[in-house]
Parts: sequence; C-alpha cells; structure tokens
Amino acid sequence: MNLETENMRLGDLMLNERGFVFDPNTGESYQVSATGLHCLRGLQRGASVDELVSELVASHDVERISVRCDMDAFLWDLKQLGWL
Amino acid sequence: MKPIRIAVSGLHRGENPQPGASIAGAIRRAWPDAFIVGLVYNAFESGVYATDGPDVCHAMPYPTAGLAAYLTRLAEVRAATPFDWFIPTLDAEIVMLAEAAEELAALGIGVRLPDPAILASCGKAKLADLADQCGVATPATSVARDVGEALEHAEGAGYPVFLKGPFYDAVLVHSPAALAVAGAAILGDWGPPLLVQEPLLGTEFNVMGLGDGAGGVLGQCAVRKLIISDKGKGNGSVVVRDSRLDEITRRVMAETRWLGPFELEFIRDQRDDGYRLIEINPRFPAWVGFPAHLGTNFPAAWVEWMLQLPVRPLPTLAPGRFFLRHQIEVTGDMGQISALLDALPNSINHHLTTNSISA
Repeated sequence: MNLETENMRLGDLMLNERGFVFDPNTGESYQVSATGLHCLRGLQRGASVDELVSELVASHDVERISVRCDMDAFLWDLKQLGWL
Repeated sequence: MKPIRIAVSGLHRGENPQPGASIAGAIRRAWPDAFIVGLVYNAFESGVYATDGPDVCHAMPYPTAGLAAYLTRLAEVRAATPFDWFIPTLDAEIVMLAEAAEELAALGIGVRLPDPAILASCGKAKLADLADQCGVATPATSVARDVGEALEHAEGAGYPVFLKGPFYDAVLVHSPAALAVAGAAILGDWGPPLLVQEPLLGTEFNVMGLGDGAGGVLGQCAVRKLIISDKGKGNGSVVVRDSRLDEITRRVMAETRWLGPFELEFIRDQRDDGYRLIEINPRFPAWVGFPAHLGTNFPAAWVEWMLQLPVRPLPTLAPGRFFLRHQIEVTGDMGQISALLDALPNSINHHLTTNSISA
C-alpha cells in the first residue's frame, strides 16, 4: 500500500438532501448546489458524464455545450479534491 | 464479580484538559457500582468536584518528587481507600511507573503499561527512528541538550521552527530571541532535551486506541481536529475514515507491540497530502469520553483486558460523528480542599494550592 497517495472514492462521500457533503477521508465538509448534488449522486450511482449532461439539458432550458462546459469545471473541482 | 475499585489520575478539565475525569465517567458507564479513586496533584483539578467524579480523591506528590516518594504515597492512599488497579494518565507518571512494575505489584496495585524500552523509543527525541522502522514519515527534528544547541539547529533549519519539550509544550518561534525565551521556559518546566522541529502546514488528525501487547489493536478511532485552541488542543474533532491512518497505526502497533491506551498525532501535510507522525502519547487522550458516549468505550475495554475479562467489542464509529468541548462550572467549597490537605503529609502540601504561607 502506498501511504502517500490513495485516491478518495467518490462513493464514500456522505450527502444529504440539502446539498451538505461530508468527506469522511479528510473530515472536510462542503455545500453544493442542487445541480451539483444531482451530479454527485449521479456519479456515485455510476452514471456517465454524457448521461448527466443529457439529464440536465432535458430538465433545464440550457444549451448542451454550456452544460458540458460547466460539467467539466465541476469535474475538475472534484478531481482537485481527490474525489475522482 | 466484586465491584471494580480503580484509581485514575489527571482529573483537570480546564483549558488544558486531562483524560482522567472522562475515564472515570466511561468506567461508570460500564459498571455503575465501580469505586473510583481520584489521584490529584492540585486541589483545583476540576474533576474532583464534578458530580460524576471520583468517589474519593487523594493528593499525590508530583512525579518529580521521585519514585520512592510517589510509591510511599500510593501505599498510604491504598491503605486509606483500597483499590486494585491504577490507570495513570499523565506522561510523566507513565514514564516513571513503567519502570516500577515489581514495586507496584508488591503494593497490590495493578498497572499495565508498555515496556520502558518501548516507551523510550516512542519519546519525542527518538520518534524519527521508530517512524523510520515503521515506514512512516515524520517532520524533520533535531535534539538539543540546551538553548545554545537549539539555536544552532534552528539556524541550520531556518526559522520558523517548533520548539518542543520532552513531554509537553510546543512553541512556534520565528527568531533566535524568541527561541531563547521559549527554550528557557520549556527547560525550566520539563528539563532537557529541547526538540527543534520543522513546522508543517496541514490539518491535524489523531488516532486513539488500545494495543494488545502482541502487535495488534483491540480497537481504534481516528478523528480530524475541527477546532484548535491557543494551546494546540483539539476542542472539537470529527470522526474520519482513511485506510492510510489505519495502516500507519497497524504498523506502529506491530512494531512496538504496544500495550494499552495510545494516541497517535498526525499532520496531513498539504505539500503532498501525506501523513506525518508528530507524536505518540502513551495514554488515553482528553477526548476519550467522546467515543465512550457513542458506545465505543475504550476505558471499559481496557479495564476488561486488565482484569482478564472478555473484552467488549469496540464498534467502529461512523465518520461524521463529532464532539465539541463544552466548558461548564463545577462547584465546591473550601472544606473539600481542606479535607484534601488534612490527609496529606506536610512534604507535599505545597503542591496543592495556588498560594502558600511560610511560617
């Protein structure tokens, strides 16, 4: 086991209905928007990024390219936190 | 089973809280009829006056009075208020009593502590060697016999540095002048050596547990500090789950074949997200009452282990459970202090009050 690097699994995150996110690995907590919560839950259940983008396009009056751009930024944040 | 009669020290719950009062409470949670003897060094140790505090308290000489004086007083206390077991909670007690297994047994007092050689290897001055054997990182640390040597080490490392004593105290110093002042204070309080340590930026994590003396653990609990006091104490922490902490703890326990309570202190270094082992405390930490409140009763398990009873399971606490330290007032009257003083040999009276009067 490498003690210096072990990626946090997204599946370990503890989420509630109000968008409160607790990372049990670091003890940090976060607040995400309803859209962010939807995406986190989708990723936890194994949805693909394309699926999540399609869901958001279908439920919001927004261009697909715009959703994809925002999704990439969100995924980048998750990667920085070690969740992906 | 006859009622458990057990002595506990470290009853103060003030700005720099000690674990004894929480240990007493946790034992009572498991055995409501347990008889708890409090051993105190100061009449103003707040746990003396807590409603769920010890059944009776006796004053002790500081460990600096020497082993002979300490054991003499322990025998007097046991004669006045019989007890079978003693859980020391302060580092200075533990270092001294680990060397006195035979004497304690002769007094009829059961104390279970790690081997003195193991304790020495876990001391701040030698921690880097042990950590190396366990494959665990530690902050760069050098050992100094006096302030002059500490100044040399700090000059080489570059300021700021942490200056630490052998048992307690850690002061971040930014200049030679500040180091000289802090070093003199630490040496005055605790004696040598002084440790000069690189400061790390990151969050603080602690792991509490019980070693079984054979390289395994009876249970453990990892937390991240949420609120840190001016003295560096965790006034609030949250349970975390990180397999790396579990693995580091397993390695340290296996290497030391640790016996009894422990607390490992870590910083998660923000440079590389790796854990650095800062300290090994050979005792229950002040937050031992937190898991006990939630059903993971380390003191009760330790008593069962000492009494060779079946050890109750120590459930793993769910991540996200947290504690906040909540100070309240306890009340007493001067008659209680007088009662503590009356039972004392004159030789240790001076330890017990903040003021003394010379004839």
